[in-house]
Amino acid sequence: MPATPSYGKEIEEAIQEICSLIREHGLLTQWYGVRWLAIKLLEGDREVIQKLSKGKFSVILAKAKELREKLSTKYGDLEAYFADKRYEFVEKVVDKAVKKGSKRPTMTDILDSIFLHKYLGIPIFISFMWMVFKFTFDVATPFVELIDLTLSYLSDMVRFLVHDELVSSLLTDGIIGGVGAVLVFVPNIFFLFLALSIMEDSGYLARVAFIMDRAMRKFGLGGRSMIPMLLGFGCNVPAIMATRTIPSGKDRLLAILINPLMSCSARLPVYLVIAGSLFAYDVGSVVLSLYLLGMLLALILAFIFRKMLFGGKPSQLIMEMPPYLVPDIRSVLSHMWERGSIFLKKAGTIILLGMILVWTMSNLPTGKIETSLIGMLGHALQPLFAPLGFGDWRVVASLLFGFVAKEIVVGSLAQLYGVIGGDLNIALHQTFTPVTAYAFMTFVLIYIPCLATIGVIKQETGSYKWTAFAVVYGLTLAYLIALLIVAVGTVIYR
Amino acid sequence: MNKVKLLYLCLIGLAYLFYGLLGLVNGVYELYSGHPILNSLQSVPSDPFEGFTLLVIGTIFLSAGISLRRDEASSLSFLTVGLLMVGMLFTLHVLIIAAKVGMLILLGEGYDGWTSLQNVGISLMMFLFTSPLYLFYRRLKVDIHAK
Repeated sequence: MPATPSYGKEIEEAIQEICSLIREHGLLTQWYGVRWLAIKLLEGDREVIQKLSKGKFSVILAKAKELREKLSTKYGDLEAYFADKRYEFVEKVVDKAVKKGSKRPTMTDILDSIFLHKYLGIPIFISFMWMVFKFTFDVATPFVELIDLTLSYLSDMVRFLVHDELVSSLLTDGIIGGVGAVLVFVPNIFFLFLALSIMEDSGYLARVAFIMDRAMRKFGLGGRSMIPMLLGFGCNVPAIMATRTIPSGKDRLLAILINPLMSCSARLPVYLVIAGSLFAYDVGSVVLSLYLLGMLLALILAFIFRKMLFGGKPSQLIMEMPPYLVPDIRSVLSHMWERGSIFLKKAGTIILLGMILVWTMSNLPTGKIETSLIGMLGHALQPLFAPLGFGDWRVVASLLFGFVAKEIVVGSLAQLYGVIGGDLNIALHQTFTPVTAYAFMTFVLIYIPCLATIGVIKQETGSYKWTAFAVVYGLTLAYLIALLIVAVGTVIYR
Repeated sequence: MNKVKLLYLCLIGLAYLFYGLLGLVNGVYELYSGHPILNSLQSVPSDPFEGFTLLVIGTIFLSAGISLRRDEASSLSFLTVGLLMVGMLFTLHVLIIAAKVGMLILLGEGYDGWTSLQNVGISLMMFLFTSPLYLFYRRLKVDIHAK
């Protein structure tokens, strides 16, 4: 008879109790291993429970539930308990069966003892993230400048070649100015994905889920939510889809609701243009602070939502750590291209269409921007945003288009100020103070998920109520936090 | 590892802690007032997160020193991660200098981000002082593996 792991007297008794019930219903024994099925029921395996719910096995399910709840009070999460015992068993077998030359620690052991350190783990992670953003902004600068110079040259050429004023304006102000304002940040996006791919391929990113698990559990978030949260740094749409791996319905809904607070790459151009203009020498730190603020708000809201809306405890995180590897350059570049090219495709489709819409709305009906549709809209909403220090109607109008895609905020600003590339920095410097600029970036971080994210929230929650809730809480929170920043900032910088 | 090496490791750790603290104070003050408190010392970072990173490195080296004194195997782990972070910080600063050279080539005299002092920051200088620790690390690795 093959050796099987032992789970301790009390658990074994529970397993046997369920096994005898399963045997009584002879039908199940034809399909599954009896012990395996009993363990899965005790673990609370969603798939197995769902399958059995369809048949007449309510007695078995009720008994399993009763035992599971009773044992959980003593052993904690049973799924994690069973996994631990299996690993113990595997280690014992390996110790007996495998002869090792020496017991010297591997590089993975050496690094993990510090990277997963109770106190140093999170500070090291923050330091690495600072290096990532410093690299993203400072090292990409010449490439950004090169694209900026090319766009200015292209714009001058179009003005010289196209004599029709309206067509020339559409091409230069609308397309080159608008899409170009976003395209300028392509190097930053690619550099960010390059750094994140290196972290991922080296095996470090998998550790981040583990490091954050301890802190996240205190806020009512399960460790499984960390992977979708990290994916949210790239794009919230696949990140929300990735919550499908979370077995508990409540945990999953919670992870979906807080995911838009993870700052996606679409928001990066907004931060870079505003921070580049107002915080020239600390852009990396300012951007990192926004990413950290997003994470902190996600944790606080998870805590509030857990207490007020969902209740219960978060599920356990069980994951196998890959060994550390020196990243393969081809694999890293391919990951970078895979993610970065999505941004390029977006620039050629939705951002381009958005920019044409902004241009049209800023030229209709009179041809003068102040009295255009967008001008009227901006002026009408301006009083609402005045307490946040967004005194310029153009800033308010740009936020409206960020609903379609966040990058459009930058393109709209460039169009509405009628500037290309570096000149936008000067215009923004005259519009914002450092405090209102930070409040504006925070507002963009929180205020509303983009159209695609709203669509995926509806798809994954299957509920208009929760989708509307995500939009409303985002808008309210953004307004309140921006107001708080302006109020506190004004007192400090008076 | 003899006492001189241990002392050197602790001194490096203390230096990182010292500059980290200066960087943190300098950076926070700059955010508050618009200019760093240590205006004349351009090699001290005025970025709060760089200061924080230096503090983390300093703590790791000091922890390495403490566990070495206690003859614990974790000293190798602390030293490895400390050296890795110093190497990463050095590479980052070299890349930033390369990027600034690129900007200088693109914009010529119009570029004002280049001054020699601004670029030779404390992270670069500390790398030079820290590099002998790599030899200690190799020796320590052999010693620990031999145990």
